[in-house]
Amino acid sequence: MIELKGICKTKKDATVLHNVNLTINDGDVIAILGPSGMGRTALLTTILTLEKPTSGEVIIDGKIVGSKGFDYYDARKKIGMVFQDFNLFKNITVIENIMQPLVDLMGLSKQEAYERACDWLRRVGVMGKAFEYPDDLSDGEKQRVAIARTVAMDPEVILLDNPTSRLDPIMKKEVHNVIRDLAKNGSTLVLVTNEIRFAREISNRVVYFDEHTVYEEGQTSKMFESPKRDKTRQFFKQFKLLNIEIDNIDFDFIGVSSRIDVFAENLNLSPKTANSMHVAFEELVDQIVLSTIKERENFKLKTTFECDEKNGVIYFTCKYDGEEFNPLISDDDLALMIINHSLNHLNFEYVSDSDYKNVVTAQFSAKK
Amino acid sequence: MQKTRLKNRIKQMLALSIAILVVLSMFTACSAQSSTTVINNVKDINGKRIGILVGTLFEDTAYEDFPSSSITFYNTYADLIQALKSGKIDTFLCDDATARALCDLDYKISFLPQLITNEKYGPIFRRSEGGEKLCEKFNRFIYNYSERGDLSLLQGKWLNAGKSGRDTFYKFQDLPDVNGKIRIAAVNDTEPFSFVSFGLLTGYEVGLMYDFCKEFGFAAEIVSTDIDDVFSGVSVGKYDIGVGLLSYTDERNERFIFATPDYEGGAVAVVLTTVAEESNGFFGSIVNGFDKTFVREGRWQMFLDGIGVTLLISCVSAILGTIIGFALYTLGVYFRNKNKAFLKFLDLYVLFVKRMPIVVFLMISYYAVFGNTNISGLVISIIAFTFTFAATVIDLFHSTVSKVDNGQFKAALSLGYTEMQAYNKFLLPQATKAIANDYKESIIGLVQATSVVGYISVEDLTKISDLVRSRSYESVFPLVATALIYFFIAWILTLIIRNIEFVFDEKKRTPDKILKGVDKR
Repeated sequence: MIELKGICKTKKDATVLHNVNLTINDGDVIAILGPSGMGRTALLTTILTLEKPTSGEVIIDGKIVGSKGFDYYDARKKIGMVFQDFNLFKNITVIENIMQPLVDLMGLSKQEAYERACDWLRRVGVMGKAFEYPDDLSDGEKQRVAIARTVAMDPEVILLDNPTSRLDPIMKKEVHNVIRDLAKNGSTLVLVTNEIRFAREISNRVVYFDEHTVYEEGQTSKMFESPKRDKTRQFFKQFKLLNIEIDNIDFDFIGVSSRIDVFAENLNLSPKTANSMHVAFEELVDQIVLSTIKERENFKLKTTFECDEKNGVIYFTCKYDGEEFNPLISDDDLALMIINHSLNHLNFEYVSDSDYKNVVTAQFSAKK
Repeated sequence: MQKTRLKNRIKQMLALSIAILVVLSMFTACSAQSSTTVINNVKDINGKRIGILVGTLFEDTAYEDFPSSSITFYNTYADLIQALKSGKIDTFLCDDATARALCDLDYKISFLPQLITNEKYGPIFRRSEGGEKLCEKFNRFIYNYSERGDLSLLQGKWLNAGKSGRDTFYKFQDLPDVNGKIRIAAVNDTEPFSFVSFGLLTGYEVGLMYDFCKEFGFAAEIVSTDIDDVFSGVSVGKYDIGVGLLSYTDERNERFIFATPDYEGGAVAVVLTTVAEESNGFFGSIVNGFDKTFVREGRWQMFLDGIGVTLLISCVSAILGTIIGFALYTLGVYFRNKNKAFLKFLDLYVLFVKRMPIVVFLMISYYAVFGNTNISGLVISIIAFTFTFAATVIDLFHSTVSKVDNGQFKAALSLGYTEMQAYNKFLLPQATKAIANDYKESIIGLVQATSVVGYISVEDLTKISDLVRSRSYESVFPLVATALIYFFIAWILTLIIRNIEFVFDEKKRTPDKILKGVDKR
C-alpha cells in the first residue's frame, strides 16, 4: 500500500505538485485523468521515489520515504513503471532486457531468469523476437516488452505513464489487451492516460488531476456519471458534448471530422451512430448550410452534438447568424435524402431575438 | 571478407598520393618564371621588392637603407630562394657567409659583393658570474688560436667557396672532463657556421667550440636547435654557450655577453644570375625533388626520426589522455548529485581547452610554466597534449551520453539499479559504441595538432620537413611529402581503430552466447 500525504513540489518558483493526497490500496486500478502539464508524470516519479517532493510524505508499506535507513533501491524494486517512450535498453537483446534485472537485482539464476522471461514474453506475444535488439521492434512490441520487463520483477504496484500515447490504433489495442489482463489478474495499477474509454473500462477508481493536485477522485462509475466539482464536470462533459464553431470558409474540415471520430470512440458509439454524426455534419452543415452562407462576408456558425447516455440519444444542433435560411427546404435533393435517412426529428426555427437566429435541430439514436 | 575492401583502399590511397605528387610537382617545374628585374649594384636596390627572413635584423636594414622598397617576409631561405626565382621578389638580404653557402649550391643565384652592413659574429655567454668567467677563457683561447694561425685554417676550411673539407665531424663525446662540463647550443640551419649534415651537427663555429673545449679540458654536450631556443636557453642557463652566426647588437648585448668575434662580415643582397632557364620537365623535377628531400645526406633518416617523434607524442598523449579523461568523466558521473563543484570544474576545464589555441598553450607551457626547469620539449609536448586530449575525451562522453536516452537511465533506476550500475551496464556500452567514430576523428586531429611542436623546438615530422627545406633549399617537395606522410598515418590509424571497433560489434552476440549455461526449453 502506498500513501501520499500533502505532497508539494516546486521547481524554480513553478508549482509542479500542490498538496497531493492519495492512497493506493492493493488491487486498485486507478486511472489518473486530466489535462497535460498539471503534474501527472511528476506524480508518478514521486511515487517511484525518483523525485523528491519539496514537502509532504510518501509512505510505502508503512515506511516513510527518505527516513533514516530508507532503502530506495529496495522500494523501487517493488514499484514498477512503464514509460511513454518505452525506454528499453538498446544495447542488449529483448530477452536480456527482461532477464538482466532479474539476475542483477532479484538474485535469480540465469536459468530461472530465462524461464520467467520466456513466460512473460509469451504472455505478451513477443517471444518470436526474443533475440532481436529493441530498435528492430515495432513500437507496440517495444511497449509490450517494456511491460513484460516491469511485470517480471513481480512488483507490488505498476505505474503506467501514458503507455499508449505513442502508438497507432492497432498497437494501442495490443497494449490495452496486455494491461487489461494485468488488471483482471488482480495487479495494482496506477494508469496515467487520456484514453478515456479504456480507463473507464478497467479502473475501479478515477482521479481527476487538475491544478497540480487531486482535484476530485472517486469510484469510476460515479466520477463518469455524476462528477461533483465544476472542472471535473467540464472535463467529463467534453466527452459527452462536442462543440464545433466555424466562422470562416477555410476551416479545418479534416480536423472536425477527426474530432467527431474521437468523440464517438470515447463514448464507444456504434459505427452507425458515428456515421449519423458524420452525415449531420458533412451533408447538412457543410454541403447545404455552409455552401450558402459562405457567400456572406461574415458569418458565425455553431454545431453541437450532445450525448444522453441514459436514454441513448444524440442531440444535434446547428446554429448560425444572418438572414433566414432553411436548409431543410433546399434544392440539394441528394443531400436531403441522405440526411433524412440517418437523422430524425429534423426541425428548423428562426429566432429573431438571438445571436444565432437560424437554428436547426435533429436527433438520432446513440447505440454502443 | 575485408580483403577486397582493403585492396580497394590501398589502390585509392596510392592513386590519391600520386595525383597529389604530380599536381604539385607541376608547380615545382613551372615555378621558375621570372618577372624580376636584374640588379647589378647595391645602389639599384632601393625601390625594388626585397625579401627578408623572419626574425632577422635585416628588417631594420631594409627599412633604413632602402626606404622606397617593399618588403615581404619569408620563413626559410628555401622560401626566399623560391620567391626570388618565381619573381615574387627582386632580391633578398642575408649574411655574407650564408649567401656564399647558398649560392654555392645554386648557379641560378649569386650575391652582390658589396657589404650593406658591417656585422661581427661570435658566441654568446650568459650574463652571470659564471658566464663572464667562461667568456674570459674563450677570449683568451681565440686570441691564441688566431695568433697561431689556426683560426685562418679553420676559416679556410669552412668559409671559402666550394664544399671541400665540409665533411669533418667533431667527436664531442670523446672530450675528457678535466675542468668541468659545459653545454653548448648551436643553431641548426646556419650553414656553414653550424648546421646538421647526415644527421650530425657540424660547421665552422662547431669546430671552433670543439677546439676550445679540447684546449681548456672541458667535456661538452652540444645540441642543435633553433635560434629562439639558443637565445632563451642561454638566457636562463639551460646552455652555457650559444653559437650560430649570431651577430652583435646592442640589444642582444644587454641580455648576453658577446665574446671576441670569430668572423666579421655583413649583410649582402642575393640576386638572380642572368643565365638562361633550363627546365627539368615534370618527371625530372619529381626525381630531383625526391633526391634532394630524401636521398641526399641520408635525409630519409631524419624523416623517420620525425615520424617517430610525432607518433610518440600522439600515442602517449592519446593513451594517457583517454585514461585521464575517462576517469575524470566517470568521477563526474559519480559525483553527479553529491558534488556540483566538481562538475563545474570539469566544465571549466573543457571550456578552457576549447578556447585556448594549442600553439599558444604549448608555448606557455614551455616558456612560462616549465620555463625554469630542464624538462625537454618532448616531455612538455606530451604533457600539454595529454592535458588537451583528456578534455576532448570528457567532452566526447558528455555529448554522447546525453544523446543516449536519458529515459533508459530513468528506466534502470525505476527497476532498482543504482546510478553507477545504470551507467556501467547500459549507458556506458551505448556511449562507447556511439563515441567510436568521433573518437577516431579526435585521435587523427591530435596527430595533426602535434605538428606545431616545432614551435618549442621539438623535432617532429613537420619540424624535420622545415629543416630539410632549409638544407635542401627546396620548398615544395618536402612539404608535399610531409602532407602525404600525415595522410598515410591518419589512414593507418583509421584502419587500426576500425578493427578495434569490430571487436565490440554487437552482431557477434549470438543467442547461444547470450544463453550460455542455460537449458533452453
